[in-house]
Amino acid sequence: MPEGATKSVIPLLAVILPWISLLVILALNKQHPKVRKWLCFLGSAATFGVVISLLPGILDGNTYYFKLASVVEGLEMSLRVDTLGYYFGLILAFLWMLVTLYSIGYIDHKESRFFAFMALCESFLIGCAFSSNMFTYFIFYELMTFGSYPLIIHEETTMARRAGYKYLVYAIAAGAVLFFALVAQYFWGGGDLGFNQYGIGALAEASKAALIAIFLTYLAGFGVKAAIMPLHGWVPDAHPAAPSPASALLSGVILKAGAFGIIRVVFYVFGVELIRDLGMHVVIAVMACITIIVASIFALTQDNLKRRLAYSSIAQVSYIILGLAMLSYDGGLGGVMHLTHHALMKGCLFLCAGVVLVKTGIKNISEMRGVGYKIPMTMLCFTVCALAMMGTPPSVGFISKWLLGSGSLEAGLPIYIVVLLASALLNAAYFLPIVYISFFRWEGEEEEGHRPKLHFGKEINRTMLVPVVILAVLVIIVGVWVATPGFPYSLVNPVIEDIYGGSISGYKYEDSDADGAVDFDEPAWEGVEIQLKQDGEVIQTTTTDAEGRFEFTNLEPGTYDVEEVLGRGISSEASTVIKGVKLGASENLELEQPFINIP
Amino acid sequence: MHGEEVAIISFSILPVLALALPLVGAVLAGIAGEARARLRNWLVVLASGATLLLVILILARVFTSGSVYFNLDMMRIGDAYVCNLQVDAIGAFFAFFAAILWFAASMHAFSYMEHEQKRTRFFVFMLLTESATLGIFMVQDFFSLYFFFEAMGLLAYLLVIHSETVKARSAATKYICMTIVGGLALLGGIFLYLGYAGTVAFKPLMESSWLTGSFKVLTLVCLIAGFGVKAGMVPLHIWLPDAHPAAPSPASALLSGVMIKAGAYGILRTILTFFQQPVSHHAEEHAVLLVGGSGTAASAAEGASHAASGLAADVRMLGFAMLWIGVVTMFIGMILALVQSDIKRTLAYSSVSQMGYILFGIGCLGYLGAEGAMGIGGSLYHIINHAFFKGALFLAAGSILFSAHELDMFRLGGLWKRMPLTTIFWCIAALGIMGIPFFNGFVSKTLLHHAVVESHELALHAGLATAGWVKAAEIVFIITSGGTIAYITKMTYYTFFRRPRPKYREHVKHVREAPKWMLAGTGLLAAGVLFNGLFPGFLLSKLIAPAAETVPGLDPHGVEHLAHTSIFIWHNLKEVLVPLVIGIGVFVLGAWPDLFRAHRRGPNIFAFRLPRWLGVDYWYVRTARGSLAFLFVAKRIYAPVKEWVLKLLKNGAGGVVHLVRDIIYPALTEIPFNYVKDTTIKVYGDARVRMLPAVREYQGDIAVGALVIAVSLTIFLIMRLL
Repeated sequence: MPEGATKSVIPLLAVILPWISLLVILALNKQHPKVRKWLCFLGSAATFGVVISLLPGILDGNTYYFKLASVVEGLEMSLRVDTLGYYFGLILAFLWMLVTLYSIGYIDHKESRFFAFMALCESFLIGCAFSSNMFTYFIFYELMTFGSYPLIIHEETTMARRAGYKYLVYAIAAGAVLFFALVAQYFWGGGDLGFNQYGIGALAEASKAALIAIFLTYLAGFGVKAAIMPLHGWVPDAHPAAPSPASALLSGVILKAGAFGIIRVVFYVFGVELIRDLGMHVVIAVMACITIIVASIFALTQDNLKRRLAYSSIAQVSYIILGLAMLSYDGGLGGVMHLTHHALMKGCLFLCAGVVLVKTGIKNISEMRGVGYKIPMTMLCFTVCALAMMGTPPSVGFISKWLLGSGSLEAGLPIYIVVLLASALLNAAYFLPIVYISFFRWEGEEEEGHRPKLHFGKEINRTMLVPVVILAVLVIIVGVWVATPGFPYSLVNPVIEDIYGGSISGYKYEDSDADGAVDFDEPAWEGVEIQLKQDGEVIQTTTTDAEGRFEFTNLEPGTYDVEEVLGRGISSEASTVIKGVKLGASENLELEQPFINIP
Repeated sequence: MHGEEVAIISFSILPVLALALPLVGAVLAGIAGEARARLRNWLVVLASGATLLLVILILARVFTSGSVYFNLDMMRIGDAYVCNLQVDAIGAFFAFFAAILWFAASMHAFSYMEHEQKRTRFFVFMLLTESATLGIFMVQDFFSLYFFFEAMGLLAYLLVIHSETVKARSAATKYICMTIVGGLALLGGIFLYLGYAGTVAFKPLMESSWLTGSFKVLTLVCLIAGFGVKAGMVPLHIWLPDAHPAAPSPASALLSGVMIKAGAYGILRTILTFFQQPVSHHAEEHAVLLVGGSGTAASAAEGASHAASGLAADVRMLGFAMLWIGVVTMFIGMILALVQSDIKRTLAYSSVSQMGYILFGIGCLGYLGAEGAMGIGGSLYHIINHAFFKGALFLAAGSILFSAHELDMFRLGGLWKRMPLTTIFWCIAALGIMGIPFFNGFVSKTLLHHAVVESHELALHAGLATAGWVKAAEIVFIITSGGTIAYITKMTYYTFFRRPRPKYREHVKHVREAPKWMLAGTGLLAAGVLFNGLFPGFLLSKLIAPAAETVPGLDPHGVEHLAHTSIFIWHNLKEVLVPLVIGIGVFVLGAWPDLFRAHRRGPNIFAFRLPRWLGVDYWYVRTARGSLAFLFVAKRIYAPVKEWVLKLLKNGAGGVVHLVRDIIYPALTEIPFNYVKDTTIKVYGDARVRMLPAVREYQGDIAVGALVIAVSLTIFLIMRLL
């Protein structure tokens, strides 16, 4: 059991709960279809409830642990909820709940199969999010691949079958590659498959070639799900083929499982320092930039709405990868936060596409004239999310863009800003025509006076409209009240702080001969309180140790003031303040000038 | 010193109320809807009127007791946040005239919108845009500015596209493209500014490289282009002449009166970042000075002037560039306005031209540096003047459209008899824009002229190489003023005073005076024109000078001088004569057949048209279409590339087979090759039959993959080698 973790069955409960919906479905098969559907929703809501019950503990910095099984000595399947894992688990359980609600109205044949596999898939994904080591992650990840296959082929058309087949080919190949990566890590990492704060220590001693090979193998393995070009081939086929709720989950969560794997590899397997030494961040940055631009251009040329959205997803998931590749505080923050941000936006967009399909039967953008008048609420939500995708404030998209932009400045590479802006322009070019055609064109517009009226109210089944509206509202709210506890920032910031946070340290001496300098024989002061301030607010307080040393850790980059607290021989005249201490990302700053005291 | 005064800020709930009120009004108006149309219209007028009152309260508060703030604490990440409101004097000034214009436009719209469709949508978005626009003037950092700027730009799309005709749609599309590209340029500029200045606030950090470092041309180009799109700066003005005529008249008045000023405001703020004087070179000294208080103020001033002299060259260069951008904008706008026949299109080009005056003043401010009080004074005065007279002109044009259903000035005529009040308001505004003494344009143009003369003197005095260019700018300035007189006289003459042509006489006959709500809106602005023209001393000392005073780094004597400038003296009055002569001359040259009822011989200068390819618009549209087409064509180009890649892969595979069969295999063993071949070919054939469909299906992905990997590797290698 890892140090400092609380043993708790709640992680297990979160993984097990969806199985209960599965049992309900099997028990009630063919009878009471309505009751069965609603029980499924209750199951996913209960799962979300269980996940959210951990929130206060997680915000306090606790981790929860549950051991499932021991495979061999030192290699075990276990669940561990750390802040990053919890972050992923929370958004996925939330989105799953909304999409299950949406599916009640959407899915009208073979419901049992669809809901059963939704529940299975949720269970496996929560397992992914809460896994304590790479081994457990790998197991759940592979299970999830098979769990999601029936969701993609649900329609059982030729197109769906082919897309499903392609998905399996890609995913199984990726699984095989991933297995090699796992074995290689086990071999070179001294049998350690866990997630460590600064990366696995033993890995750092392996040869550089081996490390690069391991990293690229991981990248290839997770890159298929994360749709990094050139491994994206299955995405644009699978999304239009799958039913809309399934596409929303594919884009919102399943693609992210790949990105989440890469986050785990970069932060907790290799550690940012090792990645920097290997120069691997340049590789993923280049691939991410190419993916962002090329996928956006592909999206521009698609006429099928869901295909366009799928290409957009490919581009947006690479934002996450790009954020990681910046290896800077804000970049990491923006990248990891974009995981949730994109899930909200793209989830909503796919659900809207589903409403369009159900209500009007339209699949192609060129046929969407006047759709905004038939389903105004849905298209309004679509517009909100489309604007958010472009990064228009106030929305989650703007927060991502802002953080990624300032992250690239921090990394000293403004070229990424050009990529972000070009991507935003392309986003505008492929999203705004959809909004335009659905609101400002209509059937029979050539005839004078033939103007459709907005039909607010009964546009679609409530169970389908509510999730769409909730997501669109959240796109704004999460973007405005960013720092609210439980929103992405509050969960991601501690993670990034642990990884990129810097420290400020210094000494406190007595200047016996009052010459303004410290001599060897002058005594250090122990137990003096030192405060760290930012913008006049005290952030941290510490006391000096026997050598007069003090240290503040886990600091965001920024400008700080370090100040002595009055008392015990430190009067207001003698008290010293060091103002404007500038701290960069993951910098360990040693104050040159010690605090001195003249007796 | 003014530096210390700026530091006084106090808490006030007024800014957030001023932003919330239009939002509440919009929601209520939306609820009232078409079913209770009168209530809705009243709500709109009341909401914008109450907002005006609030803004006046803010103005009074800011001018008496310094900046006010209200922290919304929205979008806070770590120690950075967007949208904390803080209003300083310049912001309050801008918010003030914006609120006046919104009030006038909403009164006008009360009756005007009866002829339009989707009225509720228009009113709701008009109020939403007001909130966003006021927000622009109530923040003190570029990110928040960007937030409100984008909100305004996107909301105004609904105002431009309102009538949903083919014309309005294409204008709106052009508008939104320009808005988005401009917005992205702005965002890029803000990020670069953040990188150099260390903060997004209007005041760069003292130890940053923004002030002392090398000249940040790229950042400034991004920022100024981003704001310049909205400001109608040549060559980014192309959306303006399309969007203004397409929008309903109250919206055009707002677009022209306020929205494009928001762009000018951004440019002003950009230039003013250079005026934030570094108090001292060392941070430690800074701390001492802050504690030290008034005793060290003198030494602070000394240090500041020392540092400022180092900056002066950069700022002067930037000012010079702005000055010439302004001159080119005013001249081109004037020429294009001269040859239009549509009233609103003329007014739109006129707006471009007048924005040139404002940018010209901002340029003078930069060029003069610490002595630039006259430049900023002229600009601010012209901003409020232009809001009044152009607002009045657009609203009057709206009245004409409402009554006569016609906006082509050559098809109108004799309206003075049928719409006497509108004619009077129009004439007041027209005299204002022409810069005739005792009307407002005269004051601001005089101030701007003073500024450019001062610039020229300064340049001569300091022996600068740019002195001649400044003189040239002054000459263009005077010619443009003449041209302005010509096109306004032409428009007024043809619309109101010339007898209507016989074939259009019938449709002018039924024209009646506009409804009283419309007259009230237009009249309010015309009264503003008169007031600004008759009491320049009051306005200068009570509004302009206090706003200019808060600009750090300006010489207080210059501001004092600005506050007490004598306007109505012979020296200034005689300056009008040259433009007047030019203007009347050009007008007579174009209109003599109509004036003297003669037959036209020779070219008609009012019908002069340049070939389309000479305009920037043509090239923008071509570039935009071309690049979009390129992306689609890229897909087609990609097909042969894919073929080529696949061929390469096949040949490569074939090559490997040949290599093994002919070279490696014989070298390894003595067994005849055919034996191996025969046994393997069965297996291979079997596999081939099974695999081929799958391979066909995936060959597209394989080709993309190969290409992407090749490109990635190339870029990676390039990055590595650099």
